[in-house]
Amino acid sequence: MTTLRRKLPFDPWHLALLPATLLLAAPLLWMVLASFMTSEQLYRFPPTIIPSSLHLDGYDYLFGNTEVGTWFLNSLIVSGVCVVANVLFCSMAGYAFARMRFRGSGVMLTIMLATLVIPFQLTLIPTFIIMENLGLIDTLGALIVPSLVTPFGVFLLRQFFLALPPELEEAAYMDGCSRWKILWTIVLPLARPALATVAVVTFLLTWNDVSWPAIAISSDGNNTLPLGVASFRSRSEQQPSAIMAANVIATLPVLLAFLAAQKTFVRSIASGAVKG
Amino acid sequence: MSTVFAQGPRTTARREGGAPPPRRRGLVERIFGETPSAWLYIAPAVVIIVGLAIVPVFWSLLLSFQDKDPIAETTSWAGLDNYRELLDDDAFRGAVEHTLVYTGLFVPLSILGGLGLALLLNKRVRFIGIYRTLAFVPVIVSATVQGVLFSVIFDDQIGIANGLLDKLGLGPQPFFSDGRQALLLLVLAGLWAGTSCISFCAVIFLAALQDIPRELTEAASIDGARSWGTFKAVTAPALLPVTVFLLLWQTVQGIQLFDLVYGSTAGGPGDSTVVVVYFIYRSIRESAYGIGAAASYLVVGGLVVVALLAWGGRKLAARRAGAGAGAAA
Amino acid sequence: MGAIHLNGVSKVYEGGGDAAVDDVTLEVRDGEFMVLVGPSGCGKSTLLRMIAGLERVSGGQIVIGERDVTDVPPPDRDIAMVFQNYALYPHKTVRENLAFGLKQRKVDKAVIDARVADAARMLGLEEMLQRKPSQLSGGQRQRVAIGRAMVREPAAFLLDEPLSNLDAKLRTTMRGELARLHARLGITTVYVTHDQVEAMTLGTRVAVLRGGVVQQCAAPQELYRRPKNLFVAAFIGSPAMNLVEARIEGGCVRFAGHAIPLPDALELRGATRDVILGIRPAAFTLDGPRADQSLPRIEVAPDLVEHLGDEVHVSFGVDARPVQGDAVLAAEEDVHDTRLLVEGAPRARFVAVLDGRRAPLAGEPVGLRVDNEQLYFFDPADGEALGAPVGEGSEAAAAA
Repeated sequence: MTTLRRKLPFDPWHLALLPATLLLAAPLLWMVLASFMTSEQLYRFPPTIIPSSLHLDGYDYLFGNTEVGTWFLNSLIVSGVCVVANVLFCSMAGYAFARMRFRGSGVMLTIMLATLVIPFQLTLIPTFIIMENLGLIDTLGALIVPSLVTPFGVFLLRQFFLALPPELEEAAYMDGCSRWKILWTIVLPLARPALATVAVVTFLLTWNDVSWPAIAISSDGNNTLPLGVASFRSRSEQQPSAIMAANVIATLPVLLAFLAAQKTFVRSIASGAVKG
Repeated sequence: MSTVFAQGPRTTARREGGAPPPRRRGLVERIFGETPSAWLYIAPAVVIIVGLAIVPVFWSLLLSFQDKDPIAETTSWAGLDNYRELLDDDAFRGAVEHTLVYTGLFVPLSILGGLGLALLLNKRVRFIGIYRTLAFVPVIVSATVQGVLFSVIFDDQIGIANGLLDKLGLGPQPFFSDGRQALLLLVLAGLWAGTSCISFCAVIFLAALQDIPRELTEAASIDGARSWGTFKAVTAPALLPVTVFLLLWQTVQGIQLFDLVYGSTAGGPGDSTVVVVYFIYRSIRESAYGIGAAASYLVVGGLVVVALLAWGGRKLAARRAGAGAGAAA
Repeated sequence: MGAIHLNGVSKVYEGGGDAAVDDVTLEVRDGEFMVLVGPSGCGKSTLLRMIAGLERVSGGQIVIGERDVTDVPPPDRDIAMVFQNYALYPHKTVRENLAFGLKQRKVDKAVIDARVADAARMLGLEEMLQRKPSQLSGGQRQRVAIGRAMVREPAAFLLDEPLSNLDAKLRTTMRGELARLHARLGITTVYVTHDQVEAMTLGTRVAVLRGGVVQQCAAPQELYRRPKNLFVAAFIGSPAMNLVEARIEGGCVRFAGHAIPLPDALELRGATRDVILGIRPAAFTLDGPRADQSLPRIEVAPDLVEHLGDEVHVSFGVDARPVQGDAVLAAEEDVHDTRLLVEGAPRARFVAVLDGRRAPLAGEPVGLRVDNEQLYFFDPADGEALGAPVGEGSEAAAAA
């Protein structure tokens, strides 16, 4: 290793890191590239790897022939409502479990813990029937209601609240704040990192989820973005660049959020496993 | 306890003497505990989680013993008929087989790949931030998008994969139009992107690696351990808990596979990539709730067996480690 | 109006077994600075938190002013508390921290501004009102915490080990400032600490707690001069009182081959019994031409001589078993770590505080004069004080 290091003007680990990471990112890079190619460029055999010119045909076709704007909006509504609801409801439940003594707290906590390990196919059919009876099937409500609260968020915030010094809340209590006010004025402002984690995880899961939407949604106008992309692909085999354009649009919001707050994302993804 | 803001247990001085009689409590307090308003705080969580996770588990079990006629809308008790029917159903047996093949390849490859990638990304070299960004991006890609993307890349007609093979002077491959290859490609797609891909495992491993105090590795190297020795003595034990977690997590993810199939093959060609959840999805679409519920209970039975085996294996390993330590001492 | 009465207050944690606070009856007079002191786990913090209303009482009654507040929530008790870790709101500026309590009470904005300005001036915080707590030093945070209590203008201050997070030098400064502040505001104060020096210097009166029970509540000098039992004697005073098992016989108290004649005025003089003898480190003087030749003399071999400038601490062993009753061990726990690095035979160790200008040398035998009017005697069975030092008895009587 030392001899190699002496010969090279850079650290030899780059020789492994560069190809490995490029390989991982390559399909995505090609996805972006292909979305700017024409179908003719893509259909040529042998297929083009690096195109000679870039076009917007794929995007034109996509916006002209699908309700991609509606899908985008649907995804935004579902993810947005779920993120806000999770931050709110998980905070409330997490705070109660962390700082209040009440009958049944142990039992309820155990029940919630148990739901973390229940595989979703077990609940799939009854959830479908419940949503059907509520008249929510094939509406965005069916996608929102089951994700309003996640046990993960409750546990994460409970752990965070337990680690806060209780004296802060006691001081506010003596200053005349009610519990509810203490939660809003003292505890939540201090819990921003944990709330960000809950928001990120909820956003990631609801934005990318397709298993439940595929079952609960049947009309095109109620598709979420990934769902619409999948249905568009099966309808438009002949439009690969438009399919890639749809993929790019489905990925872009998460990608931008990831690039803007990479640390939070990585910490959020890791938080469940390493701490739990 | 009656501290207003509940907190960790306080140590109290132990001494002799009878406890004074407890104070009288109000009715509400006696029924709901010291802070009855807590139930208002947890109410939304309880409604959603109990209503849409706990109740359905038992409901599902009930459904699996029922047979629903979709046209007459009548329900009849079917006993174990649904289960019997499933076990005789080639489509279901195929779905289980495909799921097992997928999981059997996907779990070890993703964990080993993730470990290798994490060890690389833990190096202190220049531009490591850029490398990490590149390596982590696939985690945020939806499995459906990934399925769509791979189905285009590996299209036998227009796919860039055949283009690359051609550049290398190799013949074109059928890829997704061949059942065997399609399943393997699904594994590849699952490893490449989504919330359980190699990059995801790498994020978890890297977080665990960075939790190892530097003093430990430094102490090991001062003690004369070479890099492999340090890995064995310090790194590997520190990674064991997350490895166990990932083993379970990835297995559950593998058995729950759906998005990728939905985005790429939709079960085809033929039924060669129908996996269990896709099978259940189809049965819901056909309103065959009883069959679907029975299928999910069969798969969960499998999951429980896996979990028990993992748990038992861990116990056994712990006992063996204990015995080894005893022998060494 | 700011007096606090505790009538038989008890605290039992559910599942915690024995009482953390056991039937405490205590009166804090209006304007008094009452210090609750004791080793960790003695129940002093629990008692304070019960006065604050942060812990529910298991039995008994708490009266603040003329009002029974046993079941009154903390914000309505007209008290303010300073926490050990200050509990400043990290996301609020110093000004917002100071004003928060008043804002919650819907106090008029002009009044809030005036009180915050007053407190800031008094505590020297005017420059820092816009800063966040994280931008302050430990001492400044401490001031903000005190200021936050002050602006409330409560009937009583409750302070929970407020100085324990400061370094030694700052602690001494802040101690002085707290004493001045109390003299100036004259607000009833209950102060919890495990540090007996703080207790002695700050308290109008000091309540010594052990195992949830008040051992003695008195003015600092009274605690020092007339400890009611072995625990208080061992806990109060630094260096701690020297204790040894001894026997009174024929007008002398004998221990480890030494015999100290007792003064005529002492009642115990005529008795013949086993006692635990206590001698304050300051009751020794180095024998020499200028020493009081009428005092009894003992011959010792110092093994450690510590120069502290004005005074010198001389340690020596005596050939007797150390007193290891529960009371003494409990008191030692927090005063200082008495475990020896090199554990020898279990021998009692004495410390004498002598004049720093003439110090003996370690290892060389030396004579010490003992003020036999400053001897303390305790019952070996129950640790209760037997009689009182003669010299002090008359003084205390004169003072009263």
